Amino acid sequence: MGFTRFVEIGRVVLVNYGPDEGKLAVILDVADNNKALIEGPDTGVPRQLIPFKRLALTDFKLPIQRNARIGTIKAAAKEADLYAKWEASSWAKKKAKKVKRAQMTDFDRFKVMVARKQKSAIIAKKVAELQAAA
Amino acid sequence: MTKAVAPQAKAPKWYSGDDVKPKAAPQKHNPTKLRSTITPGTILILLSGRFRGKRVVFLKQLPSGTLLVTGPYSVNGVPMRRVNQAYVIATSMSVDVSKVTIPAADDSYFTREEVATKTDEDQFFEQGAKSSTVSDKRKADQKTVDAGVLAAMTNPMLKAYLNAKFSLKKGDRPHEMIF
Amino acid sequence: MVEKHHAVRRETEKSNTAVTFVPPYSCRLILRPPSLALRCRGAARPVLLILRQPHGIRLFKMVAMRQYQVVGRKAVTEKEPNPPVYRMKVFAPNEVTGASQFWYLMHQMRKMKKTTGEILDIVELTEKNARIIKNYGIWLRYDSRSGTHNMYREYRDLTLTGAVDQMYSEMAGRHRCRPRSIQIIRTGIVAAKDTKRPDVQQFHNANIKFPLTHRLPRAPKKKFRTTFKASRPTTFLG
Repeated sequence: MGFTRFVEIGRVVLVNYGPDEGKLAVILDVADNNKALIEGPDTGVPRQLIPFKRLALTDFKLPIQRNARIGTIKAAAKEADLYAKWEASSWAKKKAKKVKRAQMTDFDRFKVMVARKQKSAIIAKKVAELQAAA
Repeated sequence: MTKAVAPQAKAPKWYSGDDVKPKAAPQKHNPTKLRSTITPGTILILLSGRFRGKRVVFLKQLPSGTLLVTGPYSVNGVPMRRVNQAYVIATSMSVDVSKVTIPAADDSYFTREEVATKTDEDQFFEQGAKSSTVSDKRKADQKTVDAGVLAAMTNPMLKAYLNAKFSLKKGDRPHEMIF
Repeated sequence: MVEKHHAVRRETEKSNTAVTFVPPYSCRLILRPPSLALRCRGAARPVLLILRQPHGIRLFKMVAMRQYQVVGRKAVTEKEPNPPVYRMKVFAPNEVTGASQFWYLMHQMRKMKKTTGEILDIVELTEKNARIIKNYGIWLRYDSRSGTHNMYREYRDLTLTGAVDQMYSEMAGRHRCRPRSIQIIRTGIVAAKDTKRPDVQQFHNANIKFPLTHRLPRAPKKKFRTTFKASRPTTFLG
């Protein structure tokens, strides 16, 4: 299986380290074999050189030119419906779930525990029914 | 400019061979500050003692600085009790206890009645029989407080929540968790 | 003050030599009251030079080197009431070492030194456009263990100071060369067609495209790093 995600101009990336951790940005230019120029005008990522070590490449690519301006990036992201597509991806959903779990209070954790028990009780009951029928 | 006042008392003719410690000024203890996350009605997790892991309702702070909490007794078996706030985790959940009649309890309320001292031998043989009893007044107080707190618990899951014990699971980082 | 700095800076941008000799008769700096010049040297300087970040970008790390324009001259004496003023652009981590570099280099070229001279002005020069990647050429000389060499190196960066930082790191890595034995002769922005080094030229392609191979998952914060992992990571991420 070959590669499908590349470092290229317009590639949407997820910053996974540093002050902009967890935000989406777009590659605007490649500085050298370690760093790229990125900016995320909608997510609040300022224009910066960033090492590839701090980036994760996504499946999305925006049709933009090198060194594109903020307006162009925003327009391209809107045109491609980037953020809705990102939110729909399982990667983004998993991240959102993680954040939500971390935000839970003690009472929330208790409620989840009860719900989980109820769920497994339902499943166990159904399994027992099916086994009896078989 | 005033001249320095000459000392009134004569200097002693001799000094004591041992060090005489100057009397320490009487220390005044400042009242214990209640942690900002703890307010009347807050649900607390007890961390030490017989009831560790239990979730209880905070009623008020006693003059000594300890916290007056209740299970309530009818829910999880924790009676009205004094706990140190250092051994408690405050959760963000709370119950409205403004209408609950809290007995005018202070620290003397909790002191046990002294059992008459006996010889070692007597104690040894009477071990099984000796146990402190709870006064009827405290039993009655517990009932009124329980009734008040139960009436204030509007959330249907709250009773089960207070009845459940808190414990750390695998991978839990208590310092990273929100309570 | 601000106006003057701009005037001086514009002049500096034009010249490519590291040292510019300013004829005394045309220099407005000399017209400043001597008290101001004196105050410029001390700690209680009225002008607060804030170490600025280039406008509109975030630096990956705070750059180690900054560029300063240092203006100085011999102190005024009865014999020489109107000494010539010299201006130099230097790279230094702060103003103090900037002034020190000025005296070190001036001493090699002119008969003047710190004890009998004065610094009239130090101003930090920041990048005009730090929003696009440029090719920076750096001409330098350095003392190796066996001799002195001249060198020309190219870097791609947003700022000149960033390129100079890269240069110092690379010189340290490739030649075990400390900053004290490196002297920057000249710097400049090089157009893509004029670049010499293939490792810089390969990034001039607007349709550049390459995968990132062998990726290791990175903990989002330093405190989440672990020495040992329960399972082997997936390093191929399409």
